[in-house]
Amino acid sequence: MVSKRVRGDKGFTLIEVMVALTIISVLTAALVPMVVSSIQRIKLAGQKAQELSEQQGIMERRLSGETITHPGIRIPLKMPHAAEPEYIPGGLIETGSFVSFVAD
Amino acid sequence: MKLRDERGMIAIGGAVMLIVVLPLLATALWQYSMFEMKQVDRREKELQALYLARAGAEAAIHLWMDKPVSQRPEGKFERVYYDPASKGFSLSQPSNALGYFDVEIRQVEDPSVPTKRYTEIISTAVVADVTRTVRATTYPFLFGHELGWYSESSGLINSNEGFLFDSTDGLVRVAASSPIRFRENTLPNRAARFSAKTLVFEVPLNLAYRQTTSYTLSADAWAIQSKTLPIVAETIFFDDVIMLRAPSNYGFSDITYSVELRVPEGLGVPGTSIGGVPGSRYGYVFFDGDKVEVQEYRWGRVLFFYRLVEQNSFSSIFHPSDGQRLAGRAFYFRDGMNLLRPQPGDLIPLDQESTRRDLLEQIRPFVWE
Repeated sequence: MVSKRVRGDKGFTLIEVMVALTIISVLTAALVPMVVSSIQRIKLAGQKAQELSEQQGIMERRLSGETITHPGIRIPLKMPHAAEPEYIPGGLIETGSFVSFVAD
Repeated sequence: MKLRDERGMIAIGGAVMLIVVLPLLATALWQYSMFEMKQVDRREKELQALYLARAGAEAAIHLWMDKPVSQRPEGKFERVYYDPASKGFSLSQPSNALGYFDVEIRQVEDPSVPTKRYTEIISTAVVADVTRTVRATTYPFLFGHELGWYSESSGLINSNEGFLFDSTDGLVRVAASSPIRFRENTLPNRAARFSAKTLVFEVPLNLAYRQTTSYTLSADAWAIQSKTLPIVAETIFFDDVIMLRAPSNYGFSDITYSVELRVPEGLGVPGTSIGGVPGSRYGYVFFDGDKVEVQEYRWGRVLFFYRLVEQNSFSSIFHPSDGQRLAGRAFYFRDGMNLLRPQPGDLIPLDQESTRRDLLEQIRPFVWE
């Protein structure tokens, strides 16, 4: 009874299986790196967002405490009609890629 | 036959899944990841622009607060670039600028109280394609002519018949097209009192300006009397201050037009805390102009007609203890002192740079928006 059913059912041919495997392989080869890089990018974006948030916190604390990281910086301010700019002395507050200024 | 067909359908379904749906899912994931990255990059640039804009506003605030009233800047400054390589700010664009900021200082009206105005500092920074703006707003103010103290066009001080021109508190700016001065023939007790918590003179207070009266009969000349302008404020920023003095002659007495400085009730600092006279209260006065002096007049006579005649002679007012000129300096002033004749203990020198900033910050700190 069992052997009769096995014999009666026609399975996939070797060629069909090979074609199916080829399609799966090609798709996998194309999609897996894309999926992996996407997941990595999402992870990276999450980490960067976290870093930005931390840097922002540090920056705000430094600004409120006027914690200068690079002293001796001047900002030139010049009105269009003025002959020379006026230099505002102060220091730079730098955290990561953020930069601001506190006057002396 | 039927079974074969069903198997084929399953195979086709599986193939479609693999060929269409999986790439779609993968593409969606890729797009999401790219969007996330762009969002984070944009957030970073937004914060960079925000802090750069803040740097510009901070510099402008510092410049504004350290300037004497008459020299305070207003308008748009030239663009300033930041170069991360040299960690420097410059007016010319460096090759690798992180971004730049534009700063403007302007006066705006308070929409809820049209007569009240503010000084606003607006700094806009651009990093790549991201723009951020910060606003710093300083204290509200009124103009003295809006309170009826003087005429804005002529600078003539009004008489206070009927009511007093007091401001309750806050900051009042005294600005006019001509120096602030007495009206001729104003009785001494009819001068307006300039009263506010903080008073800022943006024009000279020149009580000797055009005070030459026409010749009058001696009976009328007797009506000319000394006058005092009471200035009641905890903090006063002066431009030039010029008073008037005419020595007695022809039987007429000394005439002086002077300024009396008073501290409003409940304000000021006690004398004991600053080395002043115990029991006295002191306010703050900044002589930001070039002159604190008295212009000499004399009594002139033609037959039976007399008048005060202007002399081209000015005498500086000196500090009674250190003998230095008052112009360009800052002091604690004693409540009730007369500026024409400062007495020892009337004026205690103070560090004007730090005090100026501290006082302005007490009035109302710059508010970041």
